[in-house]
Amino acid sequence: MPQFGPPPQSVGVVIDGDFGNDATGLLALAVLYGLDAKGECRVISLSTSKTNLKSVGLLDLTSRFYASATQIPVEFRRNLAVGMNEFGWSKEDTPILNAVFAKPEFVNPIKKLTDTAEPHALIRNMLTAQPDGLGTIVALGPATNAARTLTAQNGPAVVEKKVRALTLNLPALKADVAAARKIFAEWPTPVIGVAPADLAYTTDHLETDFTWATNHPLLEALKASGLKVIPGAATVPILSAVRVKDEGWKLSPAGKFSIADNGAVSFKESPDGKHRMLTLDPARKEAIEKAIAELASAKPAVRGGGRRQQQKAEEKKP
Amino acid sequence: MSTPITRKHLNRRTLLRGMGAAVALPFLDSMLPAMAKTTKPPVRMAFVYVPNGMDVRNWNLDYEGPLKALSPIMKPMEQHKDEITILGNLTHNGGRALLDGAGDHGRCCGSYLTGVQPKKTVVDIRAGISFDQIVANKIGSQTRFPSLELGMEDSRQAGDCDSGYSCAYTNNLAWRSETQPLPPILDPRALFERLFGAGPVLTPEAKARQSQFRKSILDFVTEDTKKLEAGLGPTDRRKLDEYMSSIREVERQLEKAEKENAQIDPHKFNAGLEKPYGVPADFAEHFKLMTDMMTIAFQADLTRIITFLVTHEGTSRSYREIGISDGHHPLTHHRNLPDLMEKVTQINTYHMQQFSGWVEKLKTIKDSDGSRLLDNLMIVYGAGLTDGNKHNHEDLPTMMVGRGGSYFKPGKRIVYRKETPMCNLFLTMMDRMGVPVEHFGDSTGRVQLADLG
Repeated sequence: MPQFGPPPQSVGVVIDGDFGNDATGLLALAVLYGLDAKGECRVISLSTSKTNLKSVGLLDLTSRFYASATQIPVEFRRNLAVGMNEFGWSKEDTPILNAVFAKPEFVNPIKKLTDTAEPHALIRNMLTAQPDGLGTIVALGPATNAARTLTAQNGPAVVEKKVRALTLNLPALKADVAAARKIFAEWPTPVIGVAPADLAYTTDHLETDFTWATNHPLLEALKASGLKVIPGAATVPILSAVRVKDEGWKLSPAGKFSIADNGAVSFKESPDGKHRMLTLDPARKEAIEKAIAELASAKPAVRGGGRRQQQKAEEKKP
Repeated sequence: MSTPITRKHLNRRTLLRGMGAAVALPFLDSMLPAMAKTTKPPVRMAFVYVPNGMDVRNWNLDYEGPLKALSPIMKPMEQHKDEITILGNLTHNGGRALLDGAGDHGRCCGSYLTGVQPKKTVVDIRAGISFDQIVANKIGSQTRFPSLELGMEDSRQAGDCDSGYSCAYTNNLAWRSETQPLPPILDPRALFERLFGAGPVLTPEAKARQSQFRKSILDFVTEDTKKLEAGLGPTDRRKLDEYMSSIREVERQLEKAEKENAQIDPHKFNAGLEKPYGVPADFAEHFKLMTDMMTIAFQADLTRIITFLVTHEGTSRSYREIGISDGHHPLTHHRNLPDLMEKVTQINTYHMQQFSGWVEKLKTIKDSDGSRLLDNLMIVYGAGLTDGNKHNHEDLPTMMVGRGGSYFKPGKRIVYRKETPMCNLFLTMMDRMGVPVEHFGDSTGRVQLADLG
């Protein structure tokens, strides 16, 4: 992972979720890469809390797809390791994952556990390469992997230094109540809990929006869902973590989250709390949906960039 | 009815002394406490570090589990296949840039045993205590040398050796503290004298003159040797004879190198670079000389910890011995040109050939309980960079040789999960050395080696 040029300016996003269980998380992933394509953020770590090789395989394919689309020479691309929780919460194959990997053009590059990283080691390592305060973590699924990051050697110190906020998808926390409690009790930087949002992404324009893409794994997954309208709630944690100044979000005063044994999350205002509740401003619903549609199919900019990279690419030409 | 105890008991720390020489002994049966059948030998560890990464195309294996066909670079280890464990996916995050820009050679060597990212500087160097020194601090008092730091190439300690990284990072493996690296001994004569004692301090030229009349170190301890032999049984006498012969053989190699070097005009052949008089011109001879002494050091329990920097990180040494006149480091930036890549493979393989010779020797040496010295060793042969062209730090080329006290069952390739810290291996090794610690560097746990047999 050589590094040339000045340090990055945009926020580095650690994305974790139970990918493959439904289309909404995969739509959110497409939106994240759309933000990356526009230079608003950098995807620095991908991991899944779903213990399933197809789930992590889809992440790997997605990462390779976008890296390839940027045309950055292989040796200068980001570390492609993807993380998977070994003892996760949903192990089963899903129709979406099965449909993607049933296609001959999508061969799962992840064959075994050792093709993946332990999420907490991966997240910590990738955060260490970020400028202070320029990392952010978004957990779309249960908080398992985020909580384990705190148990890694130097994990809390790295988080404190590098992570400006942890954004949680509140309805998903119930799958791992203990992890959520650990986060609420110990997370050293602000925690943003995102309440369910009523957003929709219509799939009738998928084919036209993605004409630039050949063998796009996320496009295939969205199509495989068979849905005419995909719920866009999971895109809010991502959009709000990157576009923090967008007027579409309403942020509560400081307070503290807690979670009951049945997974119900409650929030109580408290001046010394480090937690905030984020809700979607209904007045901005249409604008946010438009942004989701635009970002989900955004074409990555070619980043052959840098003198040395161009020189390398030139040398490879026959 | 009790059996009368007639055997003469010899202390494990017995030395043969004479005229400034002190020769430690290998383990002899007479050192066993009376009535005891055997004594469990100590576990020792060594690191053999090769620089500039590997040509990973020719290093990596495409399978896990029991070793079958070895890769081209590993081929010289074919006859030792049952003694090696290939470890995959071990990573040194501290070797990565992490916003510090270029300088992977400086970082990878500085972080290799310390597990931390070294500070980018040529002045106020800072890394961390290396794990071998943590072990040495705990068990080093049990041997004459807590640890030995050895190398084979220039060990400048100051100046910029890689994009703003001090030469202290590229030229040392072991660090006594955050700010104190332990420079390796390069000159075989200096190592010999460290192990067995030295006469008066002389200039290299005076030493060379003296070498014409030099007596063997063994001659200085003749009287003690005779006294000792008189009380030994036939097995111990044979062991002692073999051991003394190995020391004498090292001396002969040293004398040969010194004689040859004395005839070389350094200004003509080495562009003004000074080379210690005891350093053989031939890489293979130098390697053999150093590893022969490492064997003796382990055999006589002079130390249980050795770090060996074969050549330093970023080295541009050429290998004319095998027909390669290009520098090693420039070759690793091969621009994917097949002929240059092939030369990198040849250098990697040449290093492995030398290492294989040492392993062969270790297999023949018996330890105190009749096991082989190799059974009680953990030798890590590896590089701090994965691919010398890409400068990456994940899936570092790592080979473990030995059984760590008949604990590991080698002969297999074990692949860990990606991003598994190299420091996890160090934690496991510290356990075997009897110095367990909870964390080291960026460790996230221990690696499994023993229960995969």
